[in-house]
Amino acid sequence: MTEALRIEGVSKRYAEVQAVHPLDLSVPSASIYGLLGPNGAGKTTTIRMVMDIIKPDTGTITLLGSQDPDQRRDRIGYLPEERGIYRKMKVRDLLVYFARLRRVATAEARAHADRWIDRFDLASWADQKIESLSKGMAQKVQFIATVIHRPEAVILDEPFSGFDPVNVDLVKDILLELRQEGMTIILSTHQMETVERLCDSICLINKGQKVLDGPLERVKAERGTKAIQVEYQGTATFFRDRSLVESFDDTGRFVEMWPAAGVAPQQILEAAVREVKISRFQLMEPSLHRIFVDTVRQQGGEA
Amino acid sequence: MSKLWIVLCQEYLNRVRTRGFVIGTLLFPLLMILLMVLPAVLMNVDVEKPARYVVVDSTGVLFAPLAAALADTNEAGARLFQLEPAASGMSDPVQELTADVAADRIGGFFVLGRDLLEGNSQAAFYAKNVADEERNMRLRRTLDQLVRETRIEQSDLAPDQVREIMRPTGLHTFRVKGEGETTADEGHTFFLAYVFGFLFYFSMFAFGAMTLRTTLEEKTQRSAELMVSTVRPFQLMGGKVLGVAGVALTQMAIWFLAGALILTQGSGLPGGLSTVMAQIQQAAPSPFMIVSFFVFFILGFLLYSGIYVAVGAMVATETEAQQLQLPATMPILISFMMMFLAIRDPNGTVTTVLSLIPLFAPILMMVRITVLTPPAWQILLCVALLIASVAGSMWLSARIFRVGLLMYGKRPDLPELLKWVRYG
Repeated sequence: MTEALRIEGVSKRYAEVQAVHPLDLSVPSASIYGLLGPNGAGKTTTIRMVMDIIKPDTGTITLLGSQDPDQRRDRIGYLPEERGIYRKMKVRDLLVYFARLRRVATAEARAHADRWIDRFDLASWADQKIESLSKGMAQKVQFIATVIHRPEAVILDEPFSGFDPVNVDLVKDILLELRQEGMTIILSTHQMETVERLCDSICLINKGQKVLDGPLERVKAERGTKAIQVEYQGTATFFRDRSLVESFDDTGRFVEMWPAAGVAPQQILEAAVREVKISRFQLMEPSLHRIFVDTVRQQGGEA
Repeated sequence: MSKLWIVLCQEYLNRVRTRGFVIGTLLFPLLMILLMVLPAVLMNVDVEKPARYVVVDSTGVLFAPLAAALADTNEAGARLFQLEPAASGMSDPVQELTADVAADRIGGFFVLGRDLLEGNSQAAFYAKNVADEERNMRLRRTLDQLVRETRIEQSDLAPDQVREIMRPTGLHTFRVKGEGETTADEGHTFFLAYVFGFLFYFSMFAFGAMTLRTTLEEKTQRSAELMVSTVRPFQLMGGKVLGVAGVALTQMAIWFLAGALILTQGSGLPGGLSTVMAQIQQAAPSPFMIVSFFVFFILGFLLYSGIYVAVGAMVATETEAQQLQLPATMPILISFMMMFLAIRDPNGTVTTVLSLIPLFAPILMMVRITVLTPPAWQILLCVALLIASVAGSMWLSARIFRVGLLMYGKRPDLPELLKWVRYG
């Protein structure tokens, strides 16, 4: 597994506040990486340091194998939290301009722009000025400007804010596709459902400090116990076996249980099929929301 | 293709395509021509309404010639000065006529003292408005002339003899150029120097403000963060400044070409224009002047752009920008005012020193070159100093630009600014 981004001992202090404590991160290539944290946790500061918008006080940042921001500018895309774009330019012109600035040939830039314009259903707006678009449409344009040059990595600060649910889904689909094509996607958000459905790995930061990080599965495994839900028909006793199940909550047709230590869900399923007819068997992931809130609370911060 | 070049092209095209640019390019020369022609036209038309003037002529001989001398008419053929003698038998003419003026019954009145011809009493003119110096001069000159002529008539000298004596010399001015040739010059050099100075002055106001605004827009539109992550700040700034400079140069080039075209092709223009044309034709600048103008224009433009960019990066709102714009334009204003001194005394110590200062050079050195070509070493030194300070101004403003662009909120104070410069 190669690394797209490596952050080592990076910190930033503003006059009174330590915005980011020395922070280490590692983002695997061709994955979707979520940077989570409550408001003011230091997500945007971290992202801005990665983008060389502000200089860290200490530490090194290696993005796409380079520590020199000038070497990698054309290979990354950036969607700042502070959205904004040349309002007087027309949609297509703007997209072509940004592609060309990242060294995409003009003809190719035009082709890319038209494809993305179709994808986002902006065709009838392509020759309109940005200032005449609605806020949501301007957001789409800005998202396209971030990915139009097929960067190796994109860094998206709160990419879903400002989109309606339909477009949130569209953006999600596109991000998954782009990852499929090998793009590394780093995004910050505090929308937990999004992270659970999208991210391969996460890092949770609070008050400028990393609280936990790693692949989503591992984080969940370490931080929460899985619950098992079963819908059944018949007379069931398997969940009363204390060697299998630590605790349960049965309603006669539906039972939610927490497996005993060292027991795989497979064993419980086997025990269950011997006794009853099963219409649903589900492993309940501990929700990231739960983990997030619990962890932040443990740290003494407010979620 | 270099990113700076892409930014430059974009900036240039964005600005040249606007309606404002087209209108400005067309309208400004029209406005200038209007300003030049208008006084001449107005002098013929005269905005003054015809008015009655009463003459209290105690000399008894001056009324008729005065009325004849002030016989101008307006376009409708009405006399501007309708002179009439004062009614006899007024006990206190000044007081009575003053009342008439106050009540707008008459436009004004003249009082010519009894011993005016002997030089022992005064002449006076009363009117509501005596601020029109042009009219006052005219009246003074006319009266002086009449009195002088009357005195001569009353003397033993023959009028023809007197006319011979009094004939004006009509001093002509010729300009000796470096090569030893001379050309007739009736104020054309002054005109040309003024035009060069004014063009720079005007452009810096129009386009300097544009560089400031284009920087400020990165902040107000919040595009700065995206741009800085896409191109190096210096490329962004350079592209923007040079793009605007390109717009300014395009406008200048259009004007110069149009001017050249009119000068070579435009004989037979209607009415008042032809006199102006003739004057401009006389004043046509030499190729060296035009080259110098563009060199000083470009260098001066870049120098001031650096200042404007820094200002644009420091402020957060249009209002703040306007507050800081004035101090930033001060040097141009000063050099524009100094221009008249430079025309009068182009090789004086003060002018020489001032014209070498880079902030003043674009106008003052250009004026000196136009009026009286200064020594070559001074021109070269001046250009060298200008280039050095352009580099300095760009370096400094690039640093302020880099940090200032991403700062929102309060305007930095001086220590903060120094930190930016070191940090950038």
